[in-house]
Amino acid sequence: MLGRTGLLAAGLVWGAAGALAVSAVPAVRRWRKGRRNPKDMIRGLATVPRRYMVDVHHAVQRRKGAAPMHALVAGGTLAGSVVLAAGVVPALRASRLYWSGAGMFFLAALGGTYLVWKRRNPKKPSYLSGGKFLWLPNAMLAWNLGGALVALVHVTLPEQNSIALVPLVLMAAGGAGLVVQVARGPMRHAFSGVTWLAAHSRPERFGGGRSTDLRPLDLAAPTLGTLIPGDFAWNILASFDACIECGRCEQHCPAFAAGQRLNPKALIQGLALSARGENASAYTGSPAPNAPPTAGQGSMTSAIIGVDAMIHPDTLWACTTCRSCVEQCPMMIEHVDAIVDLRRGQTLMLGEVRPGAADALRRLRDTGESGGRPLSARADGLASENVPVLTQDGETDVLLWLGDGAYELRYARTLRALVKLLRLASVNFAILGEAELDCGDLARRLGDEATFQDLATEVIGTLNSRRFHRIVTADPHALNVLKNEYPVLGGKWEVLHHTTLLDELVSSGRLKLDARDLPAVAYHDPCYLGRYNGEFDAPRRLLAAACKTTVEMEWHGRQSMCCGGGGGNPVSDVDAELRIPDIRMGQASEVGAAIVAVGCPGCTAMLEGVPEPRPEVKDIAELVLEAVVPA
Amino acid sequence: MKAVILLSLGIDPVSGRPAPVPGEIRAIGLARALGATQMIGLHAGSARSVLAEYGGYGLTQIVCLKGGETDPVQALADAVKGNSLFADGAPDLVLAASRGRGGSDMGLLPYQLAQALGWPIATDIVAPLEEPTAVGELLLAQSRARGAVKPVSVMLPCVITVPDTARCVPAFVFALQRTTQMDEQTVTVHSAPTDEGVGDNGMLRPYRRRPKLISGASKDSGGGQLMVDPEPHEAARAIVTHLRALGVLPDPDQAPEA
Repeated sequence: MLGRTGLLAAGLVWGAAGALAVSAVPAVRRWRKGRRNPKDMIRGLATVPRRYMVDVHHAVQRRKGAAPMHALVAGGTLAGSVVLAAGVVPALRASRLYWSGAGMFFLAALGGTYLVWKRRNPKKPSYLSGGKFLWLPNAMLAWNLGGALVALVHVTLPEQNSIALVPLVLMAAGGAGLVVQVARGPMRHAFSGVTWLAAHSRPERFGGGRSTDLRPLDLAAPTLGTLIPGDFAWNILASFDACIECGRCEQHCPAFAAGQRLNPKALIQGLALSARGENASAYTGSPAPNAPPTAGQGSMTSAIIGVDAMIHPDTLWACTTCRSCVEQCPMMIEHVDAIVDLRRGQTLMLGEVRPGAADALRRLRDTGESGGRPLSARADGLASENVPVLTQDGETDVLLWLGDGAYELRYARTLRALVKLLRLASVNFAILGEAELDCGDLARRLGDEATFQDLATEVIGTLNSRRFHRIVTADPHALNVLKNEYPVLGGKWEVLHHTTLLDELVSSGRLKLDARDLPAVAYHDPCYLGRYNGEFDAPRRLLAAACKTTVEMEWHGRQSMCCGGGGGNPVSDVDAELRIPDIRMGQASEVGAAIVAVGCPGCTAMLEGVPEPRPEVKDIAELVLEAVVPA
Repeated sequence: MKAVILLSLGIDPVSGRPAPVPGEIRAIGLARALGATQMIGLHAGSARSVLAEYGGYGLTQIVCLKGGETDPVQALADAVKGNSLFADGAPDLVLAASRGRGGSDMGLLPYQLAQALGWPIATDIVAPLEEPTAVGELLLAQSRARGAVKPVSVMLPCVITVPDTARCVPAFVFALQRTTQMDEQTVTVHSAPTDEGVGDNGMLRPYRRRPKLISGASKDSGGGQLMVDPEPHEAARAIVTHLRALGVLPDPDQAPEA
């Protein structure tokens, strides 16, 4: 009689583990229908503990209480279950110490279960999903309480352990519930998440690294981009299943906040549901705001985007590619890559872009400039500064890349300030003049990889025929393309943002600043400078040197909010309830900022477009020029 | 319906870079709107890479007549009449841009081609109107000044020109551009002798100041009268009345003497 329930308990754990293993088979089969993308899974799985304990943990702990909840519930349940499973060894089952250990783990898991329950009770927050999540704590409670009681019986009444049959039944019910949660419910996240962490598409991101460049597309491939779930690589399909619907992407998405028709969480869930062939009604979180209804049906081989498919096309074009969702996602899912892949499919295979974007892309193809403006007029705003043009025979230290913002009078003011500063610091610089084309950022974000590659080839050819030491630009979008996306296409140079160069000039003493007593200044991190290129410090050092009072908005640095000007949003006729820049300027006013310092022509235009009263918008170069002390 | 779209070598007027001509892009869209089931692009000249871009707009078969640039009208007319473009017979429609955008383009070409083919021409067509009433008749919307649209009808086969203002811009699909088939055929053109005075040299005359006949007309004197299918004599009477009101024609009581 002795130890029979103990052996049963161990058997139950082994049985549950077997059921979980079997439940993984359909998932693996499904992922294998995706595009082939060989990954070294042995090495990948070896990195998972580190990736989970460091990178995932960093993201998880940003939401208060989330990390302890996971540690208790996942750690406790796993450890308790493993200990129980080890009970197949008779000697262990005879030890009270063994049973007390198991009991402690299950007790910890019970604490975690309470925290899991508390998340959605008494009221489910809007960013969390319902559905199967609502009875998940019950299954956890049954399993862990059952486990704790089985252990308790074996510690206190080892002679009459058949009493443990009652909690064993409870445990079996909980185990069945957990298997359903993993096999057919949101807890598939556990197995999918491990797979995705092992086979991540951007392994450089782990350990605090950065990988933000869009990958070039083979334009000769039969399908360009993604039309059906099967066009995604297998590991990307796993990443969609890894989503646990925590809703952090939704909480930080500027498009969602403004009521544009995108909710990154609903998008990823839509993709996962498409791949699984489930109906959209299986999703129980917040939808994409104001998105018109779709058929909500999908399969591995049918279209994802469309009114008669799973995801409404408006959702795709509402994204500003700010990477805030990617930054927030504890499972390190690559939302922006998925959106760009889908955009590539729509643009290159179907020609389905918004009318405004179609015009911009046509102008880019035909004139090499998104507005169809004369290339010679780009530097008109700098006419008073008499900036030299770098010819094929000339040579310069700094090549100033103007970008398409230069056509605007407002941003030309920024460029004039920058040029004056470079002169004051005796920097040898020049511009490309008429030879500067659009760098292709807009085309690429809109999914038109063909036009991007055409423009990139031409620009790289031009730049490779000029002699200079480094490129400086005040446009973070151009910076990102020139610095991160041209190297694989054959263009490798040192590329700096103007704030990085100015910071260098100030710290080396070539520019002397006298901090001015201005009203509070808040710095707005441009997405393509901060999240995309990791430059958070140089602009802040410059500001501190130029202005006496600086404040930080609540969302700043890596968590900064987009101005709404990225990803081709301004040309895509996006429907919205609010304007993203209005929300952002509201955040600046909240912290009492009278001046918002920017470092991007897109941000300047978007934020200055907010109706007054609002904080004044100034580029860092302008603030630095005002604070400069003549030598 | 089988349509031939005339393609020229466009130059973007702002950037000076080779680019498709807006009217020709719209001609593809109009051909589709008219229900063309087969379309071929036709270019009098050697094959150039810029022409492949029309493929992205849906014109995936392009024929280039190498050597045709010496007399484009004759070369194009020979190709259209030659029945070699489509496997199953002659084209029903030839579409061209109302204006070209290249150095050697000439706005007269569609007219001259229509003349050479002996086909009617409908110019500045922006959209089809309702289904044609008679077999082989097209009912079309012609764009006029100040946004006015006039219904016109034309018998097939015909030449149609499309202005830059037409809204029928087809979507650009890169995947289609990749599949564009560009055939180059070498042609020899036997030019017909050109009429006196309208040849390449044209006719030079000294400038002569025209008398301002409608001096009484100002921009406010417009308005006029809309007559739908009037009897010819009624229409003539209305025109005469209007011209008299403007003072271009003398008053009726003075008419006999004039």
